[in-house]
Amino acid sequence: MLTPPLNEEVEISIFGPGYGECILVHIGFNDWIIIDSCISPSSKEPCAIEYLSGIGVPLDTGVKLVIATHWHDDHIRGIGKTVNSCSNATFVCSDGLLTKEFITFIKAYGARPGLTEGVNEFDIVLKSLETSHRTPKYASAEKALWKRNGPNGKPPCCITALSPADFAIHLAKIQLKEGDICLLLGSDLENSPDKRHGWAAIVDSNLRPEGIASVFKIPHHGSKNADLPEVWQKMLIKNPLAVMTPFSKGNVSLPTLEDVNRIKNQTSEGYITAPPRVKRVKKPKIVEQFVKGATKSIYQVNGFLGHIRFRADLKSKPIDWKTELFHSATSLNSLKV
Amino acid sequence: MQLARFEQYDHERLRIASDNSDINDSEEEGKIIPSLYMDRKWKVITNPDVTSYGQLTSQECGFITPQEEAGVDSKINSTYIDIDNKSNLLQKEIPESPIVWYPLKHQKTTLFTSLKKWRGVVLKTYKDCFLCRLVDQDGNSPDEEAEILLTKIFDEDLQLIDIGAVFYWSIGYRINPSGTRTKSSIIRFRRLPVWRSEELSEAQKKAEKTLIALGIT
Repeated sequence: MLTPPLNEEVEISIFGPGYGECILVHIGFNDWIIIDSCISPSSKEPCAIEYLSGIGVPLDTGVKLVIATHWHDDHIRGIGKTVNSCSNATFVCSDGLLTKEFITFIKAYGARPGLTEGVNEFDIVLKSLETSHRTPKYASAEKALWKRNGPNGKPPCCITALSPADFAIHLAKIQLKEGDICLLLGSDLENSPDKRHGWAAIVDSNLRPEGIASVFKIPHHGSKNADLPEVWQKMLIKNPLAVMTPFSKGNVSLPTLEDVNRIKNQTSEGYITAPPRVKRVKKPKIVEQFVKGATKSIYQVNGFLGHIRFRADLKSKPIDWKTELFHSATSLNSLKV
Repeated sequence: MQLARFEQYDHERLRIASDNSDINDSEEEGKIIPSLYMDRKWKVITNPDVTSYGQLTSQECGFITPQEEAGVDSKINSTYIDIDNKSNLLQKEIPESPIVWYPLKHQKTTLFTSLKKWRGVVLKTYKDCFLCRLVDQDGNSPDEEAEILLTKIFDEDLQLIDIGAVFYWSIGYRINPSGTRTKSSIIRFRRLPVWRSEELSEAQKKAEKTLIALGIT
Protein backbone atom coordinates (compact mmCIF):
# COMPACT_ATOMS: atom_id res chain seq x y z
CA MET A 1 0.00 0.00 0.00
CA LEU A 2 2.73 2.43 0.94
CA THR A 3 4.48 2.44 -2.40
CA PRO A 4 4.51 5.78 -4.16
CA PRO A 5 3.40 5.91 -7.79
CA LEU A 6 6.05 6.08 -10.45
CA ASN A 7 6.86 9.45 -11.96
CA GLU A 8 4.98 8.64 -15.14
CA GLU A 9 2.06 7.07 -13.37
CA VAL A 10 -1.27 8.70 -12.63
CA GLU A 11 -3.05 7.81 -9.42
CA ILE A 12 -6.51 8.50 -8.07
CA SER A 13 -7.01 7.59 -4.44
CA ILE A 14 -10.43 7.91 -2.87
CA PHE A 15 -10.67 7.78 0.93
CA GLY A 16 -13.92 7.33 2.78
CA PRO A 17 -14.29 6.55 6.48
CA GLY A 18 -18.05 5.97 6.11
CA TYR A 19 -18.80 9.62 6.69
CA GLY A 20 -16.70 12.01 4.67
CA GLU A 21 -14.53 11.79 1.62
CA CYS A 22 -11.21 12.89 0.22
CA ILE A 23 -9.76 12.46 -3.26
CA LEU A 24 -6.08 12.49 -4.03
CA VAL A 25 -4.81 12.72 -7.57
CA HIS A 26 -1.24 12.24 -8.73
CA ILE A 27 -0.97 13.82 -12.15
CA GLY A 28 2.50 12.47 -12.69
CA PHE A 29 5.97 13.78 -11.84
CA ASN A 30 5.21 14.18 -8.15
CA ASP A 31 2.47 16.75 -8.65
CA TRP A 32 -0.49 16.07 -6.36
CA ILE A 33 -3.96 17.53 -6.01
CA ILE A 34 -6.10 17.14 -2.90
CA ILE A 35 -9.86 17.48 -3.22
CA ASP A 36 -11.76 17.79 0.05
CA SER A 37 -10.72 16.24 3.31
CA CYS A 38 -11.77 13.60 5.80
CA ILE A 39 -10.25 12.20 8.96
CA SER A 40 -8.90 8.74 9.52
CA PRO A 41 -11.00 7.22 12.34
CA SER A 42 -7.99 5.51 13.87
CA SER A 43 -5.28 8.16 13.74
CA LYS A 44 -7.54 11.25 13.63
CA GLU A 45 -5.21 12.65 11.00
CA PRO A 46 -6.38 14.01 7.64
CA CYS A 47 -6.39 11.01 5.28
CA ALA A 48 -4.51 12.81 2.52
CA ILE A 49 -1.72 13.95 4.83
CA GLU A 50 -1.40 10.54 6.43
CA TYR A 51 -1.22 8.76 3.09
CA LEU A 52 1.17 11.20 1.39
CA SER A 53 3.48 11.23 4.38
CA GLY A 54 3.35 7.44 4.42
CA ILE A 55 4.54 7.15 0.83
CA GLY A 56 7.17 9.81 1.28
CA VAL A 57 5.67 12.70 -0.71
CA PRO A 58 7.03 16.08 0.45
CA LEU A 59 3.88 18.01 1.33
CA ASP A 60 5.39 21.43 0.83
CA THR A 61 6.54 20.88 -2.74
CA GLY A 62 4.48 17.91 -3.90
CA VAL A 63 0.96 19.21 -3.34
CA LYS A 64 -0.02 21.87 -5.87
CA LEU A 65 -3.67 22.36 -5.09
CA VAL A 66 -6.01 21.85 -2.15
CA ILE A 67 -9.64 22.15 -3.23
CA ALA A 68 -12.60 22.53 -0.89
CA THR A 69 -15.53 21.73 -3.17
CA HIS A 70 -18.09 22.89 -0.65
CA TRP A 71 -18.24 23.51 3.07
CA HIS A 72 -20.15 20.48 4.25
CA ASP A 73 -19.03 18.67 7.34
CA ASP A 74 -18.35 15.44 5.46
CA HIS A 75 -15.98 17.19 3.04
CA ILE A 76 -13.90 19.50 5.20
CA ARG A 77 -12.80 17.58 8.28
CA GLY A 78 -9.07 18.10 8.63
CA ILE A 79 -8.80 20.54 5.74
CA GLY A 80 -7.29 23.17 8.03
CA LYS A 81 -4.37 20.92 8.86
CA THR A 82 -4.14 19.87 5.21
CA VAL A 83 -3.81 23.47 3.98
CA ASN A 84 -1.35 24.20 6.74
CA SER A 85 0.82 21.17 5.97
CA CYS A 86 0.82 21.73 2.21
CA SER A 87 2.43 25.09 2.68
CA ASN A 88 2.89 25.96 -0.99
CA ALA A 89 -0.36 24.61 -2.36
CA THR A 90 -2.97 26.94 -3.79
CA PHE A 91 -6.24 26.77 -1.89
CA VAL A 92 -9.41 26.77 -3.96
CA CYS A 93 -12.93 27.31 -2.70
CA SER A 94 -16.22 28.90 -3.64
CA ASP A 95 -16.20 32.70 -3.80
CA GLY A 96 -19.02 32.84 -1.27
CA LEU A 97 -16.59 31.68 1.40
CA LEU A 98 -14.27 34.60 0.85
CA THR A 99 -16.68 37.48 1.30
CA LYS A 100 -16.21 39.97 4.11
CA GLU A 101 -19.46 38.91 5.69
CA PHE A 102 -18.45 35.26 5.87
CA ILE A 103 -14.93 35.95 7.11
CA THR A 104 -16.35 38.22 9.83
CA PHE A 105 -18.57 35.33 10.86
CA ILE A 106 -15.54 33.03 10.99
CA LYS A 107 -13.50 35.53 12.99
CA ALA A 108 -16.31 36.07 15.48
CA TYR A 109 -16.84 32.37 16.08
CA GLY A 110 -13.13 31.66 15.80
CA ALA A 111 -12.59 33.79 18.89
CA ARG A 112 -14.71 31.27 20.77
CA PRO A 113 -12.73 28.12 20.05
CA GLY A 114 -14.33 24.72 20.19
CA LEU A 115 -17.69 25.93 18.98
CA THR A 116 -18.22 24.46 15.57
CA GLU A 117 -16.00 22.06 13.71
CA GLY A 118 -16.57 23.67 10.32
CA VAL A 119 -15.89 27.17 11.61
CA ASN A 120 -12.72 26.08 13.33
CA GLU A 121 -11.50 24.35 10.18
CA PHE A 122 -12.03 27.46 8.10
CA ASP A 123 -10.40 29.62 10.74
CA ILE A 124 -7.31 27.41 10.55
CA VAL A 125 -7.35 27.65 6.75
CA LEU A 126 -7.50 31.46 6.86
CA LYS A 127 -4.75 31.73 9.46
CA SER A 128 -2.57 29.33 7.51
CA LEU A 129 -3.04 31.27 4.25
CA GLU A 130 -2.30 34.54 6.03
CA THR A 131 0.85 33.20 7.65
CA SER A 132 2.21 31.75 4.43
CA HIS A 133 1.12 34.77 2.32
CA ARG A 134 -0.98 32.69 -0.03
CA THR A 135 -3.89 34.09 -1.98
CA PRO A 136 -6.83 31.68 -2.32
CA LYS A 137 -8.47 31.05 -5.63
CA TYR A 138 -12.16 31.19 -6.43
CA ALA A 139 -13.74 28.46 -8.48
CA SER A 140 -16.36 29.09 -11.10
CA ALA A 141 -17.80 27.23 -14.06
CA GLU A 142 -15.26 26.23 -16.71
CA LYS A 143 -12.48 27.98 -14.82
CA ALA A 144 -9.00 26.48 -15.05
CA LEU A 145 -7.79 26.07 -11.49
CA TRP A 146 -4.30 24.85 -12.22
CA LYS A 147 -2.23 24.25 -15.33
CA ARG A 148 0.97 22.46 -16.12
CA ASN A 149 2.20 23.55 -19.49
CA GLY A 150 4.51 20.62 -19.98
CA PRO A 151 8.10 21.83 -19.66
CA ASN A 152 10.92 19.36 -19.00
CA GLY A 153 9.08 16.53 -20.68
CA LYS A 154 6.16 16.62 -18.25
CA PRO A 155 2.81 16.09 -19.96
CA PRO A 156 0.58 19.16 -19.92
CA CYS A 157 -2.29 19.07 -17.51
CA CYS A 158 -5.25 21.23 -16.70
CA ILE A 159 -7.59 21.05 -13.78
CA THR A 160 -10.90 22.70 -14.44
CA ALA A 161 -13.85 23.47 -12.23
CA LEU A 162 -17.05 22.67 -14.08
CA SER A 163 -19.92 23.76 -11.96
CA PRO A 164 -21.23 27.28 -11.37
CA ALA A 165 -19.79 28.80 -8.25
CA ASP A 166 -22.96 30.33 -6.94
CA PHE A 167 -22.65 28.21 -3.83
CA ALA A 168 -19.92 25.66 -4.20
CA ILE A 169 -17.53 24.07 -6.61
CA HIS A 170 -19.18 20.68 -6.58
CA LEU A 171 -17.05 19.24 -9.27
CA ALA A 172 -13.53 19.26 -10.54
CA LYS A 173 -12.30 17.79 -13.75
CA ILE A 174 -8.74 16.86 -14.41
CA GLN A 175 -7.52 16.42 -17.91
CA LEU A 176 -4.17 15.07 -18.87
CA LYS A 177 -3.71 15.93 -22.50
CA GLU A 178 -0.76 13.73 -23.21
CA GLY A 179 -1.79 10.15 -22.74
CA ASP A 180 -5.34 11.30 -23.08
CA ILE A 181 -6.40 10.57 -19.52
CA CYS A 182 -9.48 12.36 -18.31
CA LEU A 183 -11.05 12.15 -14.90
CA LEU A 184 -14.47 13.38 -13.95
CA LEU A 185 -14.73 14.01 -10.25
CA GLY A 186 -18.20 14.87 -9.08
CA SER A 187 -18.35 16.09 -5.53
CA ASP A 188 -21.93 16.55 -4.28
CA LEU A 189 -23.33 18.19 -7.39
CA GLU A 190 -26.96 17.28 -7.92
CA ASN A 191 -29.48 17.74 -10.70
CA SER A 192 -31.67 20.80 -10.85
CA PRO A 193 -35.12 21.33 -12.40
CA ASP A 194 -33.58 24.43 -13.95
CA LYS A 195 -31.30 23.28 -16.77
CA ARG A 196 -29.02 26.24 -16.20
CA HIS A 197 -27.88 24.62 -12.99
CA GLY A 198 -26.60 21.26 -11.85
CA TRP A 199 -25.36 18.47 -14.10
CA ALA A 200 -27.52 19.46 -17.04
CA ALA A 201 -25.71 22.81 -17.30
CA ILE A 202 -22.36 21.02 -17.44
CA VAL A 203 -23.43 18.49 -20.04
CA ASP A 204 -24.87 21.26 -22.23
CA SER A 205 -21.91 23.59 -21.83
CA ASN A 206 -19.85 24.35 -24.91
CA LEU A 207 -17.02 25.66 -22.81
CA ARG A 208 -16.20 22.61 -20.77
CA PRO A 209 -12.89 20.90 -21.63
CA GLU A 210 -13.03 18.27 -24.31
CA GLY A 211 -12.33 14.69 -23.47
CA ILE A 212 -14.12 11.60 -22.32
CA ALA A 213 -13.32 10.51 -18.79
CA SER A 214 -12.31 6.97 -17.90
CA VAL A 215 -12.61 7.48 -14.15
CA PHE A 216 -15.74 8.87 -12.54
CA LYS A 217 -16.13 9.89 -8.93
CA ILE A 218 -19.88 9.39 -8.61
CA PRO A 219 -21.46 12.52 -7.10
CA HIS A 220 -23.44 12.78 -3.91
CA HIS A 221 -22.90 9.23 -2.71
CA GLY A 222 -24.72 7.69 -5.63
CA SER A 223 -28.05 9.36 -4.95
CA LYS A 224 -30.65 9.37 -7.71
CA ASN A 225 -30.98 13.16 -7.72
CA ALA A 226 -27.30 13.49 -8.65
CA ASP A 227 -27.41 10.95 -11.47
CA LEU A 228 -27.96 12.23 -15.00
CA PRO A 229 -27.89 9.58 -17.77
CA GLU A 230 -26.40 12.14 -20.21
CA VAL A 231 -23.30 12.34 -18.05
CA TRP A 232 -22.69 8.63 -18.58
CA GLN A 233 -23.46 8.97 -22.27
CA LYS A 234 -21.57 12.15 -23.15
CA MET A 235 -18.81 12.61 -20.63
CA LEU A 236 -17.64 9.10 -19.81
CA ILE A 237 -16.24 6.13 -21.68
CA LYS A 238 -18.31 2.97 -21.77
CA ASN A 239 -17.95 0.96 -18.60
CA PRO A 240 -15.80 3.50 -16.76
CA LEU A 241 -14.16 3.04 -13.41
CA ALA A 242 -16.74 4.52 -11.05
CA VAL A 243 -16.22 5.12 -7.37
CA MET A 244 -18.23 6.60 -4.55
CA THR A 245 -18.36 7.07 -0.81
CA PRO A 246 -21.30 6.25 1.49
CA PHE A 247 -23.30 8.72 3.56
CA SER A 248 -25.56 8.42 6.60
CA LYS A 249 -27.64 11.06 8.28
CA GLY A 250 -30.79 10.38 10.19
CA ASN A 251 -32.95 8.03 8.20
CA VAL A 252 -31.00 8.81 5.02
CA SER A 253 -28.43 6.24 4.06
CA LEU A 254 -26.72 6.39 0.68
CA PRO A 255 -26.39 4.66 -1.65
CA THR A 256 -29.64 2.73 -1.49
CA LEU A 257 -30.05 -0.68 -3.08
CA GLU A 258 -31.82 1.06 -5.95
CA ASP A 259 -28.85 3.44 -6.37
CA VAL A 260 -26.38 0.57 -6.40
CA ASN A 261 -28.38 -1.34 -9.00
CA ARG A 262 -28.79 1.75 -11.17
CA ILE A 263 -25.04 2.38 -11.14
CA LYS A 264 -24.30 -1.26 -11.78
CA ASN A 265 -26.38 -0.96 -14.93
CA GLN A 266 -24.03 1.78 -16.13
CA THR A 267 -20.76 0.06 -15.27
CA SER A 268 -19.44 -3.22 -14.05
CA GLU A 269 -16.45 -1.42 -12.54
CA GLY A 270 -18.21 0.30 -9.64
CA TYR A 271 -16.59 0.62 -6.21
CA ILE A 272 -17.43 2.07 -2.83
CA THR A 273 -15.09 2.95 0.06
CA ALA A 274 -17.33 1.29 2.66
CA PRO A 275 -20.73 -0.37 2.91
CA PRO A 276 -23.49 2.24 3.43
CA ARG A 277 -24.30 1.24 6.98
CA VAL A 278 -22.01 -0.70 9.22
CA LYS A 279 -22.78 -2.64 12.35
CA ARG A 280 -22.52 -0.57 15.50
CA VAL A 281 -19.65 -1.26 17.88
CA LYS A 282 -21.15 -2.21 21.26
CA LYS A 283 -20.18 -0.30 24.39
CA PRO A 284 -19.98 -1.50 28.02
CA LYS A 285 -23.26 -2.97 29.31
CA ILE A 286 -24.09 0.00 31.54
CA VAL A 287 -23.56 2.43 28.68
CA GLU A 288 -25.74 0.35 26.38
CA GLN A 289 -28.53 0.24 28.99
CA PHE A 290 -28.67 4.02 29.25
CA VAL A 291 -28.35 4.46 25.49
CA LYS A 292 -31.26 2.09 24.94
CA GLY A 293 -33.38 3.96 27.48
CA ALA A 294 -32.63 7.41 26.11
CA THR A 295 -32.80 6.86 22.37
CA LYS A 296 -35.33 5.86 19.75
CA SER A 297 -32.55 4.74 17.45
CA ILE A 298 -28.77 4.80 17.26
CA TYR A 299 -26.38 3.72 14.57
CA GLN A 300 -22.78 4.08 13.59
CA VAL A 301 -21.98 6.51 10.82
CA ASN A 302 -18.39 5.66 10.21
CA GLY A 303 -16.11 2.85 11.05
CA PHE A 304 -13.06 1.85 9.18
CA LEU A 305 -11.36 3.88 6.54
CA GLY A 306 -11.85 2.56 3.05
CA HIS A 307 -9.37 3.40 0.35
CA ILE A 308 -9.71 2.76 -3.38
CA ARG A 309 -6.69 3.32 -5.56
CA PHE A 310 -6.49 3.43 -9.34
CA ARG A 311 -3.12 3.66 -11.03
CA ALA A 312 -2.18 3.78 -14.70
CA ASP A 313 0.90 4.45 -16.77
CA LEU A 314 0.60 7.83 -18.46
CA LYS A 315 1.97 6.32 -21.66
CA SER A 316 -0.20 3.23 -21.79
CA LYS A 317 -2.56 3.05 -24.76
CA PRO A 318 -5.22 2.02 -24.24
CA ILE A 319 -5.16 3.10 -20.62
CA ASP A 320 -4.55 0.15 -18.40
CA TRP A 321 -5.92 0.91 -14.96
CA LYS A 322 -4.86 -1.14 -11.99
CA THR A 323 -7.47 -1.17 -9.20
CA GLU A 324 -6.60 -1.77 -5.54
CA LEU A 325 -9.03 -1.90 -2.63
CA PHE A 326 -7.92 -1.36 0.95
CA HIS A 327 -9.66 -1.91 4.29
CA SER A 328 -13.46 -1.61 4.02
CA ALA A 329 -13.51 -0.70 0.32
CA THR A 330 -15.46 -3.07 -1.88
CA SER A 331 -16.82 -3.43 -5.40
CA LEU A 332 -20.51 -2.74 -5.99
CA ASN A 333 -20.89 -6.23 -7.39
CA SER A 334 -20.08 -7.78 -4.03
CA LEU A 335 -21.91 -5.20 -1.94
CA LYS A 336 -24.81 -6.32 0.22
CA VAL A 337 -27.09 -3.38 0.94
CA MET B 1 -11.16 30.59 77.10
CA GLN B 2 -12.19 32.65 74.13
CA LEU B 3 -12.32 31.32 70.65
CA ALA B 4 -11.49 33.03 67.42
CA ARG B 5 -12.04 31.57 64.02
CA PHE B 6 -9.37 31.96 61.40
CA GLU B 7 -9.97 31.53 57.73
CA GLN B 8 -7.61 31.44 54.87
CA TYR B 9 -8.64 34.51 52.93
CA ASP B 10 -6.71 33.65 49.83
CA HIS B 11 -3.39 32.08 48.97
CA GLU B 12 -1.38 34.52 51.02
CA ARG B 13 -3.62 35.96 53.60
CA LEU B 14 -5.49 34.91 56.67
CA ARG B 15 -8.34 36.70 58.28
CA ILE B 16 -9.93 36.54 61.66
CA ALA B 17 -13.60 35.90 61.73
CA SER B 18 -14.98 36.11 65.20
CA ASP B 19 -18.10 37.47 66.73
CA ASN B 20 -16.23 40.14 68.60
CA SER B 21 -13.40 40.99 66.30
CA ASP B 22 -12.95 43.13 63.26
CA ILE B 23 -11.71 41.48 60.14
CA ASN B 24 -8.20 42.36 59.25
CA ASP B 25 -5.80 40.84 56.90
CA SER B 26 -2.22 41.22 55.99
CA GLU B 27 -0.38 41.06 52.74
CA GLU B 28 2.35 39.10 54.41
CA GLU B 29 2.11 35.42 54.12
CA GLY B 30 1.30 33.71 57.34
CA LYS B 31 1.02 36.85 59.39
CA ILE B 32 -1.85 38.94 60.58
CA ILE B 33 -0.61 42.27 61.81
CA PRO B 34 -1.96 44.30 63.33
CA SER B 35 -5.50 43.36 64.12
CA LEU B 36 -8.01 44.92 66.34
CA TYR B 37 -9.40 42.66 68.93
CA MET B 38 -11.48 43.98 71.74
CA ASP B 39 -10.04 47.44 71.13
CA ARG B 40 -6.50 46.30 71.61
CA LYS B 41 -3.70 45.72 69.20
CA TRP B 42 -2.30 42.27 69.12
CA LYS B 43 -0.14 40.19 66.90
CA VAL B 44 -0.39 36.66 65.70
CA ILE B 45 2.53 34.88 64.23
CA THR B 46 1.51 31.80 62.39
CA ASN B 47 3.65 29.08 61.04
CA PRO B 48 3.22 28.77 57.26
CA ASP B 49 4.27 25.12 57.42
CA VAL B 50 1.30 24.40 59.57
CA THR B 51 -1.23 26.20 57.45
CA SER B 52 -0.33 24.47 54.18
CA TYR B 53 -1.31 27.40 52.04
CA GLY B 54 -2.85 26.60 48.76
CA GLN B 55 -4.15 23.27 49.93
CA LEU B 56 -6.45 24.05 52.77
CA THR B 57 -9.42 26.25 52.24
CA SER B 58 -10.35 27.01 55.81
CA GLN B 59 -9.19 26.24 59.28
CA GLU B 60 -10.37 26.90 62.72
CA CYS B 61 -8.20 27.69 65.65
CA GLY B 62 -8.92 28.11 69.27
CA PHE B 63 -7.14 29.91 71.99
CA ILE B 64 -6.63 27.40 74.67
CA THR B 65 -5.45 27.67 78.17
CA PRO B 66 -2.20 26.09 79.36
CA GLN B 67 -4.27 23.54 81.22
CA GLU B 68 -5.93 22.50 78.05
CA GLU B 69 -2.65 22.37 76.20
CA ALA B 70 -1.86 18.97 77.61
CA GLY B 71 -4.74 17.52 75.72
CA VAL B 72 -3.58 18.84 72.42
CA ASP B 73 -1.96 16.42 70.06
CA SER B 74 1.73 17.16 70.42
CA LYS B 75 2.27 16.35 66.76
CA ILE B 76 0.37 19.45 65.75
CA ASN B 77 2.87 22.16 65.12
CA SER B 78 1.07 25.11 66.54
CA THR B 79 1.26 28.48 68.12
CA TYR B 80 -0.69 29.55 71.15
CA ILE B 81 -1.90 32.93 72.25
CA ASP B 82 -3.70 33.47 75.47
CA ILE B 83 -5.96 36.30 74.53
CA ASP B 84 -7.32 36.60 78.06
CA ASN B 85 -3.95 37.93 79.04
CA LYS B 86 -4.06 40.93 76.73
CA SER B 87 -1.12 42.72 78.30
CA ASN B 88 0.96 39.69 77.51
CA LEU B 89 -0.10 39.91 73.89
CA LEU B 90 1.02 43.46 73.63
CA GLN B 91 4.35 42.85 75.22
CA LYS B 92 5.45 39.74 73.44
CA GLU B 93 6.10 39.74 69.77
CA ILE B 94 6.19 35.97 69.61
CA PRO B 95 3.61 34.53 71.92
CA GLU B 96 4.52 31.64 74.09
CA SER B 97 1.34 29.69 73.83
CA PRO B 98 0.30 27.87 70.70
CA ILE B 99 -2.65 28.52 68.45
CA VAL B 100 -4.01 25.11 67.74
CA TRP B 101 -4.73 24.43 64.10
CA TYR B 102 -7.29 21.77 63.78
CA PRO B 103 -7.09 19.50 60.77
CA LEU B 104 -9.24 20.62 57.87
CA LYS B 105 -12.42 18.77 57.28
CA HIS B 106 -12.42 18.26 53.52
CA GLN B 107 -15.68 19.24 51.92
CA LYS B 108 -17.29 16.19 50.41
CA THR B 109 -18.61 16.59 46.90
CA THR B 110 -20.39 14.42 44.40
CA LEU B 111 -17.96 12.79 42.00
CA PHE B 112 -18.66 11.43 38.55
CA THR B 113 -16.67 8.67 36.93
CA SER B 114 -17.37 8.64 33.23
CA LEU B 115 -17.49 5.41 31.24
CA LYS B 116 -18.48 7.12 28.02
CA LYS B 117 -18.59 10.75 27.04
CA TRP B 118 -19.90 12.16 23.78
CA ARG B 119 -20.05 15.61 22.30
CA GLY B 120 -23.31 15.88 20.43
CA VAL B 121 -24.63 18.23 17.77
CA VAL B 122 -28.36 18.49 17.06
CA LEU B 123 -29.11 17.76 13.40
CA LYS B 124 -32.90 17.74 13.37
CA THR B 125 -35.71 18.17 15.84
CA TYR B 126 -38.93 16.20 16.12
CA LYS B 127 -41.93 16.31 18.43
CA ASP B 128 -40.68 13.76 20.91
CA CYS B 129 -36.97 13.51 20.14
CA PHE B 130 -34.07 15.06 18.27
CA LEU B 131 -31.58 13.60 15.84
CA CYS B 132 -27.97 14.23 16.72
CA ARG B 133 -24.45 13.26 15.80
CA LEU B 134 -22.39 11.89 18.67
CA VAL B 135 -18.63 12.22 18.62
CA ASP B 136 -16.77 10.09 21.13
CA GLN B 137 -14.75 12.35 23.43
CA ASP B 138 -12.25 9.62 24.20
CA GLY B 139 -11.59 9.45 20.49
CA ASN B 140 -11.75 5.69 20.27
CA SER B 141 -15.18 4.97 18.84
CA PRO B 142 -16.59 5.92 15.46
CA ASP B 143 -19.18 8.69 15.21
CA GLU B 144 -22.76 7.69 15.85
CA GLU B 145 -26.14 9.19 15.17
CA ALA B 146 -28.98 8.87 17.58
CA GLU B 147 -32.53 10.02 18.12
CA ILE B 148 -32.61 11.10 21.76
CA LEU B 149 -35.92 11.31 23.59
CA LEU B 150 -36.90 14.73 24.94
CA THR B 151 -38.04 13.09 28.18
CA LYS B 152 -34.36 12.47 28.97
CA ILE B 153 -33.47 16.16 28.80
CA PHE B 154 -33.53 18.50 31.79
CA ASP B 155 -36.44 20.93 31.65
CA GLU B 156 -34.13 23.95 31.68
CA ASP B 157 -32.28 22.57 28.64
CA LEU B 158 -35.34 21.91 26.49
CA GLN B 159 -35.43 25.45 25.15
CA LEU B 160 -31.82 25.11 24.00
CA ILE B 161 -32.57 22.25 21.62
CA ASP B 162 -32.21 23.54 18.10
CA ILE B 163 -30.32 22.59 14.97
CA GLY B 164 -26.63 23.10 15.59
CA ALA B 165 -26.94 23.11 19.39
CA VAL B 166 -24.10 21.36 21.15
CA PHE B 167 -24.48 19.12 24.18
CA TYR B 168 -22.44 16.70 26.23
CA TRP B 169 -23.63 13.25 27.20
CA SER B 170 -21.85 11.40 29.96
CA ILE B 171 -22.67 7.91 31.16
CA GLY B 172 -20.95 6.51 34.21
CA TYR B 173 -21.07 6.34 37.98
CA ARG B 174 -22.04 9.11 40.36
CA ILE B 175 -20.40 8.83 43.78
CA ASN B 176 -22.45 10.70 46.38
CA PRO B 177 -20.92 12.43 49.45
CA SER B 178 -21.99 9.44 51.47
CA GLY B 179 -19.87 7.22 49.23
CA THR B 180 -22.79 5.54 47.50
CA ARG B 181 -22.14 4.68 43.85
CA THR B 182 -25.02 4.90 41.42
CA LYS B 183 -25.24 4.50 37.66
CA SER B 184 -25.93 7.79 35.97
CA SER B 185 -26.52 9.41 32.59
CA ILE B 186 -26.27 13.17 32.21
CA ILE B 187 -27.11 15.19 29.10
CA ARG B 188 -26.33 18.90 29.36
CA PHE B 189 -26.63 21.49 26.63
CA ARG B 190 -23.98 24.10 26.16
CA ARG B 191 -24.87 27.66 27.01
CA LEU B 192 -23.25 30.51 25.16
CA PRO B 193 -22.77 34.07 26.30
CA VAL B 194 -24.58 36.67 24.22
CA TRP B 195 -22.60 38.46 21.56
CA ARG B 196 -21.24 41.81 22.63
CA SER B 197 -20.96 44.63 20.11
CA GLU B 198 -17.23 44.86 20.93
CA GLU B 199 -16.76 41.24 19.89
CA LEU B 200 -18.51 41.83 16.58
CA SER B 201 -16.53 45.00 15.89
CA GLU B 202 -13.34 43.14 16.66
CA ALA B 203 -14.37 40.35 14.28
CA GLN B 204 -15.04 42.89 11.53
CA LYS B 205 -11.62 44.44 12.02
CA LYS B 206 -9.97 41.02 11.89
CA ALA B 207 -11.91 40.14 8.73
CA GLU B 208 -10.78 43.34 7.00
CA LYS B 209 -7.20 42.60 8.00
CA THR B 210 -7.48 39.03 6.71
CA LEU B 211 -8.95 40.12 3.38
CA ILE B 212 -6.05 42.53 2.88
CA ALA B 213 -3.52 39.88 3.88
CA LEU B 214 -5.06 37.40 1.44
CA GLY B 215 -5.02 39.93 -1.35
CA ILE B 216 -8.80 39.97 -1.65
CA THR B 217 -10.33 43.35 -2.30
